[in-house]
Amino acid sequence: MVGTEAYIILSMILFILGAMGVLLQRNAILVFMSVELMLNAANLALVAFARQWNEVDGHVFVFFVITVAAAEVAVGLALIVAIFRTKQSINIDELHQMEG
Amino acid sequence: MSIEVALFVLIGGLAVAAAMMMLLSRNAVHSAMFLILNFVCVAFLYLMLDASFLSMVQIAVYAGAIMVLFLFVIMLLGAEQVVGEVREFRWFNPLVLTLALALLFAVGLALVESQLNDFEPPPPPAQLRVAHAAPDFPAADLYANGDLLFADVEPREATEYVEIEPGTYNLAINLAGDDPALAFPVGSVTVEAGQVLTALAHGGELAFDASGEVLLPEIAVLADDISTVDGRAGRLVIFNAGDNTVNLVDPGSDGVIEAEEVVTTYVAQLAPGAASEPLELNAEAVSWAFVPADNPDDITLRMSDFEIERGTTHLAVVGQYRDVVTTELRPELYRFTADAEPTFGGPRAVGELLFITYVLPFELVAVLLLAAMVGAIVLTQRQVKPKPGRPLRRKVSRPLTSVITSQVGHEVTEPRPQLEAPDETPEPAGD
Repeated sequence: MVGTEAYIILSMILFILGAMGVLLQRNAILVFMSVELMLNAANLALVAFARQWNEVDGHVFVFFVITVAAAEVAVGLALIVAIFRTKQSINIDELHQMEG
Repeated sequence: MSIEVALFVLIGGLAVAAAMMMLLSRNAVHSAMFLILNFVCVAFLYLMLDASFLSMVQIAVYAGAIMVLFLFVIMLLGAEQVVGEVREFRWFNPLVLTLALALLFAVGLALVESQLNDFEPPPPPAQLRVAHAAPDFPAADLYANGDLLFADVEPREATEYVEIEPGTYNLAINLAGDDPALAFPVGSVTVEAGQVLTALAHGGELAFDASGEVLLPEIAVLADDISTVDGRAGRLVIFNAGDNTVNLVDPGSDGVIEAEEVVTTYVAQLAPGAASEPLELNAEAVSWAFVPADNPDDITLRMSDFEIERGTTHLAVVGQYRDVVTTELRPELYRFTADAEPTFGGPRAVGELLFITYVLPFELVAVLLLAAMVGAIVLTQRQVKPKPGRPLRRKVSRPLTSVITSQVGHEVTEPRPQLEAPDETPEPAGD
């Protein structure tokens, strides 16, 4: 049986890749996809811990995370479409008209 | 290296590779495809972690619905090509790399220090129920160490399981609703952590023996096996509460056992006061029979159409009751059931928890989804309706010519009305 530690390390690697994507990507859609990657990594850790504790509660939390991710994607993509309409671009480096 | 470790390395490596390709790909559509591959790999890892339900949800919702939405928006905006210019902050990339490595180092250190693999989860709480298989004794209350544990247990019925602290309990019974101080002690039970027990009351009747004592039921403590049972099967335990050693046999379709007939024996030599080993049986009705061990042709009690339910542990008690007419003891079968634990991570386990323990968060998530739907509609709506407070008149109060101009597309030239007669024109001299 593969230990929980291995799954946590894998989930950590995926999480860091997602975080780097969020920080380094300039395409807003790719930033969103990186956020999904991070959520997935956290889900993997939750499922691994659920098996370790022999409790199904972790699975219910993953279920909620997936639902919230779906809601977030719906709103986020709507935002991206709205921004694209006004600025004709989804490069997030060009979106700093709000800086002080 | 076992197959599971090899699979983990393969699938985990594929997941990491897909994530990296997603970040490095120059085309947003390719990135989305690599992300789908990553999600499918994670779904496979869920299967390896006994999370079968989540694995299906992952593929259907994440790799299916959410990624379709992503691809749709990428195509809609024509944003396939990732912008390639140098970004403004040159110091940003090394900083991010440093932070990522620091995070990896911190988590690795925490993992090494924690020794996660040596962790043992605490045992589940001990559970106890009472089954009343003494039909000649009326409904009873059961006391443990003087405290009321179960009230008004009817004959031939069992209570639900209750969680109980580990320890030794002195059990006492009394007629339902009677004075607890007068309860009759019937022995003790020792509960250990994680055990699931049935205190089975059998024998006894509301009568007095030769020395004037009440014939109390005996309490047999059975350790129940309610662990997960295979999807199409149920579990059957036989307890002998009679006076003779019995066998449980299948008399065949004709239902009778002729002399020298060879029959299938399921439980052999079940002594009085003993419980059989759990039998795992297919979920169907069985028509078996109990025969005395010393006279295997003489059926004493039939289990006619005894329904074995799937995912359930059945306790069948061969008891006896006193016939009111003949006042003889007659054999009788009692049936108590307990739900076996659902498969870990299966739809039933997750569903039970979701709809019993987590109903309120579930409702909140539903409201959140509704709010997200409304938000998406509001954000993407192109035209904003005028607010009701604003006067609409301003739009129509423009000069008529400019309205016509905007409609026709060119300037309207109309001859100015000559209201005043030109004074310059001299009147013809003639007056």
